[in-house]
Amino acid sequence: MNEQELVKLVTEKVIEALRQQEAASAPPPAPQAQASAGARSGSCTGAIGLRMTVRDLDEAKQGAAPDEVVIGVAPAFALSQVETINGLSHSDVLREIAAGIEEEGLHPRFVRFRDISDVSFIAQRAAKLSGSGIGIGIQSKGTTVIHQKDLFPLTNLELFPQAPLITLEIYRHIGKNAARYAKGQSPVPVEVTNDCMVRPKFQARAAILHIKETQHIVEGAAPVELEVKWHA
Amino acid sequence: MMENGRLIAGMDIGNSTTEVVIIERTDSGIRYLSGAMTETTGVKGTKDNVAGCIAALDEALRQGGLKYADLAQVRLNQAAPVISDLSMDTISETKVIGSAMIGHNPDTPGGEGLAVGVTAPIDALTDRTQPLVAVIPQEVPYYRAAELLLQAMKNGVSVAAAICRNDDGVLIANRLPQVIPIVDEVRNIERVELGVPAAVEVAGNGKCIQTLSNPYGIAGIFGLNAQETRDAIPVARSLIGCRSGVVLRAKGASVQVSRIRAGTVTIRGTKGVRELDVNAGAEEILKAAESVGKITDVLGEAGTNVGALVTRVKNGMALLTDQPVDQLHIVDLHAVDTFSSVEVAGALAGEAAMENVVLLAAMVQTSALPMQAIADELSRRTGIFVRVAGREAEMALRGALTTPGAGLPLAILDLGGGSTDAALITADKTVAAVHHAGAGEMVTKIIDLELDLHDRDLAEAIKKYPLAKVEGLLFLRFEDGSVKFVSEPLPPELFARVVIVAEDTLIPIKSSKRLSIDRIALVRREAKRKVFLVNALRALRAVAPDGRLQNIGSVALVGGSSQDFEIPDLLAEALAPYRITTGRANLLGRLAPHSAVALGLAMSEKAE
Repeated sequence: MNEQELVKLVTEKVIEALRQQEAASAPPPAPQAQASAGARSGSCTGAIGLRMTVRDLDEAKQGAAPDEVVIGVAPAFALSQVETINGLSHSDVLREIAAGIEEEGLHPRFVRFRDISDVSFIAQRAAKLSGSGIGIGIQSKGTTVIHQKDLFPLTNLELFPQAPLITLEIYRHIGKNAARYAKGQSPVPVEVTNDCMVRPKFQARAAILHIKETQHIVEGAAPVELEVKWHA
Repeated sequence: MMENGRLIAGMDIGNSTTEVVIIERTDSGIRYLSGAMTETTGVKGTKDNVAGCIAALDEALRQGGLKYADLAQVRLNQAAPVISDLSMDTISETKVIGSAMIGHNPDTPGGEGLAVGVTAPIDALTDRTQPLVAVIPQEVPYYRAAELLLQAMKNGVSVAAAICRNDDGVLIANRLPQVIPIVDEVRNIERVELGVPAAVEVAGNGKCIQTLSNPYGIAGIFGLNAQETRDAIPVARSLIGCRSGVVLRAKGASVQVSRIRAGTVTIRGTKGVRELDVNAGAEEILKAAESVGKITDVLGEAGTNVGALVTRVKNGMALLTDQPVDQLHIVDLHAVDTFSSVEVAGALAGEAAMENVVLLAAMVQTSALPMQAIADELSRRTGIFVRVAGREAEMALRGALTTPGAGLPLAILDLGGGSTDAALITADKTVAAVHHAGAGEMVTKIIDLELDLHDRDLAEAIKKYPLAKVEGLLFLRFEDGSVKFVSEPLPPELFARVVIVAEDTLIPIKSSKRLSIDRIALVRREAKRKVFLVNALRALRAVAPDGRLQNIGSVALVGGSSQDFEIPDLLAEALAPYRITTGRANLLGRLAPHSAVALGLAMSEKAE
């Protein structure tokens, strides 16, 4: 059995289990209804007590500034999910990516994608909106991609597929590297550790988190500017 | 198939490639039929070469639509019995004692300018009587550090500068109302002494620090006397070229730059014997080598790198020729000064200094390589008459002379991998030839060292091909500024990278050293100058009539490195003042210069 078949099998089993759970309990509110209930906002608190609030604003626009890097987040990011698969607060994760970009002298801009949960597409569309042509895509479970506007969606500049192994230092480095690509420098790709036990250990949880994120998709919804603030 | 001509194959076994040229000889002249080139199998001069010989021969025959029986004779080169090797010695060392200075190039220091104060921990910025330099450890995140600095400033404390462990310089600077210099990424910040005077300097983009890299600048800041200023010279020197620096005036702290002993080398020649220390540098070694006349042997001090080099080349040749080691002698020595990045001992930010390195190439020569054994084996396996015919240098000259426009007298320069050889044929057809140590391999080594690559294959590729930068996924800019567009997007791993434009691939240069295209190109060209230019002049002088380059007239370049994209131009430029015509050989008006020896062998009359 190859990897893809395994992923498919596990996903099917998980969906089946979820369906049974749902059938047993009361039907959940339709994601459509939840999403359309006015301007959405959320908040979460980081490990050292820094609270982040996020708010969806108007439709995201194409940027012109060459010194911006767009960070595209998935539908449930910092709303119904507030931490990554290995328990890092979304507040800390976004702060570190943004800090990495700022340290390199560029500016982060945040955009929420509402009609898609695939991290490659989020990253590629973030790159297309970005004035520098460089974008970062991040899912609620923490999987991250650095993308460039001229690349096909399923390619990338750097991919961090094993979310359970990404630390806050790596998120900072991802921000730095994205900014360096935007400056036309050639950074050494971020070193990622690889652990063959990550798949069996986190596969089921990753599938559930991804399915939950996918449930928040609003078909045809445009990406929106995301206001992100940190409070001491 | 040929009625009137005899078909003859010339075969040249080189260090890295084996070449075959097949010609037809008739009474009226010669005609080129086909040729081939393959990798040399095994070490040049051993029976292992036969496999490569047969592969090259088969390919050449296939190209010409011929078979073994068509060939009247195969002529093998009498390979020059020389081998050479390299050694390297780091001869200087920088050491920081105590917390004397931090001088490094963090990607992104914060703020700009020069400030002086007394070091104090970030959580105890209370002294209002004098300016302070805040020291920020790893566990304090940037926003907390900025808050503490702001708080202290509000309380009337004069915070002049900051030194910080994390890569947070810009982040902290962005959160302060006034611009102060911040040096970040100081790895061993816990070793920065507190309560001592410190000067912090950060230069703007594209500039280097000015004051702390100048001994008088340091003297002015700390009020040093003449003796103390002299002691500050190593500090200032190690800050030259840095974007940011810190000098601390702590008791007992200093910077030492010392020379490391690297062993002695003894050069024996026809005019005398010279013994000198390797760390005297390349220039002194070359001068000594010249002063002893023709080198008869070189000895290296046992237990040192130069000693190991001498033993290695001699043992290599002994193995090849079955001669006792004590009968082998080193006949040439080449030395080059270069530098290599070495981490500074005791450094606070993990900074590296470019330390001086002496690179040595030595060459050993014997009477002859066992080429006849190869010829016999080849003959046994192909059924063709094979003979060893003629010295390499003479054959190369003969081949080179088929270049349209070339005539007697003619010199050739054979730029190879291990050695640079020169030969001259005068109007009365007397031939002089020399072999010198140091060629392509040495260039590769210098590129590897100076760019701090630790990757021989990458250095080799940098040597051979021009550079470009992938500025967008659909176009690249070459080192000469020209732009090329591509129709298909380039692979993403090439994006924003400096790449080597090899024949059919782009090789990205992945290095943490922020190597710009200009820097790589400069190192590459300088390495070629240091080895090929110096050696070419040395070799040509050795064969020139009366030792005067002006008497040479014209030089044809042959050998692997003659096809390098810039070496021929470098040489042509350097030889022009001696009124020498220099160019790549253009054999028979159609063949590449690396086939010179094979063609010369096939054409040689002596073998008839």
